Amino acid sequence: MKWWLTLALCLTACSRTMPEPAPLAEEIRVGSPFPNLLLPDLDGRAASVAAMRGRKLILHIFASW
Amino acid sequence: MHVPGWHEQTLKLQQEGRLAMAGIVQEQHPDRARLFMQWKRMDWPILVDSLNLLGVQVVPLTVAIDEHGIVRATGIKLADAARFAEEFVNTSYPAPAVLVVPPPPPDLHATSPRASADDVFLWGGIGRVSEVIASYRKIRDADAPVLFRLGVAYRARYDSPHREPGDFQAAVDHWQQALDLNPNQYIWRRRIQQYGPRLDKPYPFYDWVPAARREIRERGEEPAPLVVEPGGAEFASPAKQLQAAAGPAEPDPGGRIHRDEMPFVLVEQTVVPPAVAPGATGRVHLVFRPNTARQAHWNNEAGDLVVWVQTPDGWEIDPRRLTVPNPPLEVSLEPRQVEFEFRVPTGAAEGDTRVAAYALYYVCEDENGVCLYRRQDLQVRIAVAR
Repeated sequence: MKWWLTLALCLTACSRTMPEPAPLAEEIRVGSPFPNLLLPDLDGRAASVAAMRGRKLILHIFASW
Repeated sequence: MHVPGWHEQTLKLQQEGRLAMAGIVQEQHPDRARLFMQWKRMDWPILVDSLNLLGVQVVPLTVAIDEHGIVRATGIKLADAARFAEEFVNTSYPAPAVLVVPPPPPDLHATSPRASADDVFLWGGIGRVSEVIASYRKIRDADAPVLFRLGVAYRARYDSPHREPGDFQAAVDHWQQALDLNPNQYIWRRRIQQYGPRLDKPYPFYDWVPAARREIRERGEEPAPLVVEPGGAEFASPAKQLQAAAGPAEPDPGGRIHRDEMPFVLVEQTVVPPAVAPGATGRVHLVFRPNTARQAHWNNEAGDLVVWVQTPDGWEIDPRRLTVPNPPLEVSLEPRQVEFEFRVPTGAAEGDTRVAAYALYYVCEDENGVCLYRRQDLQVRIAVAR
């Protein structure tokens, strides 16, 4: 690709407002990392599933009802 | 039960250190999950996803994640738990080319409006909940998840000292708007059904709480406290029909009790769902709070709070008479809640119907030191829509 074409495409793309991030729906896929979300634990401290790596993990997404 | 069953069937592997368990709860009130975990003796990490950031549409959902952080199976059934877990711990998985690393710390200055509102809700503390609501309101046309999260924020403010009138109804309204856009979102539907009529309930939501507390105390432990006690709808079992025919006596049929003109008691009403079709049922929540601006408080040495609901022609109301017993204190300030259900006549026209009701209560006010028995007339607005 010509350098000036690359630059023009970049300028066009970069000048746009950054879009809203897509919602993390249905992103739990076999073969991929678990969605890398930072969530509070029950005491309000920041926690993540990624920080639990190192052991095999069974994760239950649930509600007590 | 799915999760306790998994815990029981994999306990040996957990104790041997070969398998870890964790949870992500999809509830508005995560402290209830803490009580549930204590009850079932499940001592493992729980993350809270009240906003449904994960976007899961169903629970429970069990996911197997290898030691490198890679998802290896989803939707594993309880019936397969023991066999699956044994195979899973004995399988070696190659390390991925790119290592999974934990996410960065919370950023309360995220540039995206949605990410910013999410982060301030999660990490900014309840004192910033009005700011979160304002942020979500600016972008609520973006998509259904924003509407749902706006509902979560309204309900969180309703449960907080920052409560504003109409917060609970605003929560239900926004959950319903989100669900209308995505009727297959089971998590959002459950949030409404949690507070909705018995005819629309899949099961009782929190009827396990009394048994859990009893069993925990019998073990010599103190049950984990709940920030918000479950209300009537959250304990109620599903029903096939209303019991509208059973009719106790009306407490003040002639309207002779003096009206509370001040008022000494403030009333908030919430209708779930926010609009009800002809022939369908709904549930009304009425919350009574002593008006602290009038220095009012409940007089518990007298009778209980009683609510009577009139029945419009062709409607069913169940129950028509509701009572909130006084606590064992001379005076108190707690909110008092009653709930009743209604069925809209099949041939009802669309539009608003006002269901008349009244409350009778004993209050004292500190300005002049008097205690009074008062009646407050209410009009519950119910939207009928096909």
